Amino acid sequence: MRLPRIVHQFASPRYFYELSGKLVPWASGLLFALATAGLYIGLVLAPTHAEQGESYRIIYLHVPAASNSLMVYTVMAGAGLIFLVWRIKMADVIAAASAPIGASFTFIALITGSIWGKPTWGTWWQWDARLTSELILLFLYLGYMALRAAIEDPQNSARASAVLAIVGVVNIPIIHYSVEWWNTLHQGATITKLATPTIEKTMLTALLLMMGAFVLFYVSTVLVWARCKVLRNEVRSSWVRDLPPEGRNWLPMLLPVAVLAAAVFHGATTPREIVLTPSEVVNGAAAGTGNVILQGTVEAIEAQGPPSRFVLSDGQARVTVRFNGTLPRFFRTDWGARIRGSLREDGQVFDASTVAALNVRDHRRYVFTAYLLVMIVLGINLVSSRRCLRQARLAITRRIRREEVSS
Amino acid sequence: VNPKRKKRLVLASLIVAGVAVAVGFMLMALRENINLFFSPSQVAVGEAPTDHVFRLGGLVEAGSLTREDDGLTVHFVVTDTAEKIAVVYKGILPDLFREGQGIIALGKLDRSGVFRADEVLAKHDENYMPPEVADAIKTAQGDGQLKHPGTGI
Repeated sequence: MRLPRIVHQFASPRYFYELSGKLVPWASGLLFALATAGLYIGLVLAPTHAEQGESYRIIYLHVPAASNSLMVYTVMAGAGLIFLVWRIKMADVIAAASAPIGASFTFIALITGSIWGKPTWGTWWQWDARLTSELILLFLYLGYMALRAAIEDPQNSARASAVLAIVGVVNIPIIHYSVEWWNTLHQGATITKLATPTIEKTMLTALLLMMGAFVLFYVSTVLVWARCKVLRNEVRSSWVRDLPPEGRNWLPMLLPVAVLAAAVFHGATTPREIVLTPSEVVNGAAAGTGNVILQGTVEAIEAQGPPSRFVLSDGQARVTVRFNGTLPRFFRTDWGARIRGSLREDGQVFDASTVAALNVRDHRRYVFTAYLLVMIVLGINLVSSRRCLRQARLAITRRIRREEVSS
Repeated sequence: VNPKRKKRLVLASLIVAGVAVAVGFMLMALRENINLFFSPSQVAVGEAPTDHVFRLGGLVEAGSLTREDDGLTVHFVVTDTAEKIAVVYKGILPDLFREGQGIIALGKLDRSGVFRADEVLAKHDENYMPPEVADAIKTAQGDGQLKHPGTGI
């Protein structure tokens, strides 16, 4: 068995350190660019989900985190195998550096899934095959990190943890196929079936951008962790002492700035659709404006059309809507509706040109909590990996100074 | 090929294969416990533990939903298109609960064969569509919900 040349090149700590130093700023710049684009499209441009309402926007965190939790584990186990068979030390460094990021992704997948599950399924947690196997993945990551920390001899620690990572790989297909093998609460996959349109295009674009951003987050963070570990392992090597002071490459950060500027420009120049509530209509917001969008809860269906008549409410005010057509299939009382139309001149009845049934519940606190938690978890990874590298560099400088003084 | 490396590679593959087989047998043995719910057909042929609490999963049959005057107690029929089971539930239903929706109910069968639920959860499918598109697709498919694999039933 031969490994590709690049693996052997990467196996040299010095080569790795120099190459990764060039890669990290670009991976980070691209990561922030993709995330900015993904968040703008996903949170601002993408439409509401008919059944799940606004709560579905957690998908842009949940799915990338979940798919990457599997990807990172596979990389970790693969690196473990390379270390066990070919005894390449760099592979062990990469595996060790992957564990905290993989654990973070798994934690994010579990916590955002839980926050999403409450408003949609009606429960924070069920011992369903998908949820349980993902929880086992979190324990595998934590067990891996604990095992590494528990064995002091670096060689033994690396070997034992590599075996654990390789054995744990059995869980990966179980997680992936759990929704097909067993009866679960969790639904099947959306993205693997690109052939059939099971996700709207704007939503898909945002989701793919966020998946790319999560992959790049892994790439840039794992490289920083690995660089820190390389410096620590190689304190005594001469190349480490001869390292030039590292300047910061800010050029790649122009990418996210450009994307942000484009998003701001797009947001400022695109006319926003204003969605009115029944209260606003009663207070005269729709008077004389022509075509508007009105959203509320269906309080009563007075006539099943055509012509149809129903009452929309937001708890404070009511508006009667007339629609010259058949009401949509899932149109029902106590459920939301979004209509386009205009207010009659008498100011009492709304004439609808289109009627759509949708979930109008306020899910802002779920979505906000999910995004906040993810920012915190990823932020901790970002900061602690950079701090590790900075301290490793400082330790080397101090060591050199100490030796200069003593000689 | 370095014989030492080959030996280590074979050993690692054997370990993974061994663990995979062991886990596979374990999952097969625990199959009934891993399944989160039983379908009405499984209940009909006696696969469900009807003497104690279990989860029933299926679609809420169209036209079967009725509410009692207290506004909290609901009656509906859960079906997997082959068998049906009547369900009674008192409590707050999830937002996504509606006729035609896939649901999972936790409870027990009473002597008259009615499922008394303590908890009702809503499943949702893997389709992500805005309201206008969702309405158009559902209308085109007609009774598509029942045949849709996404409901998991």
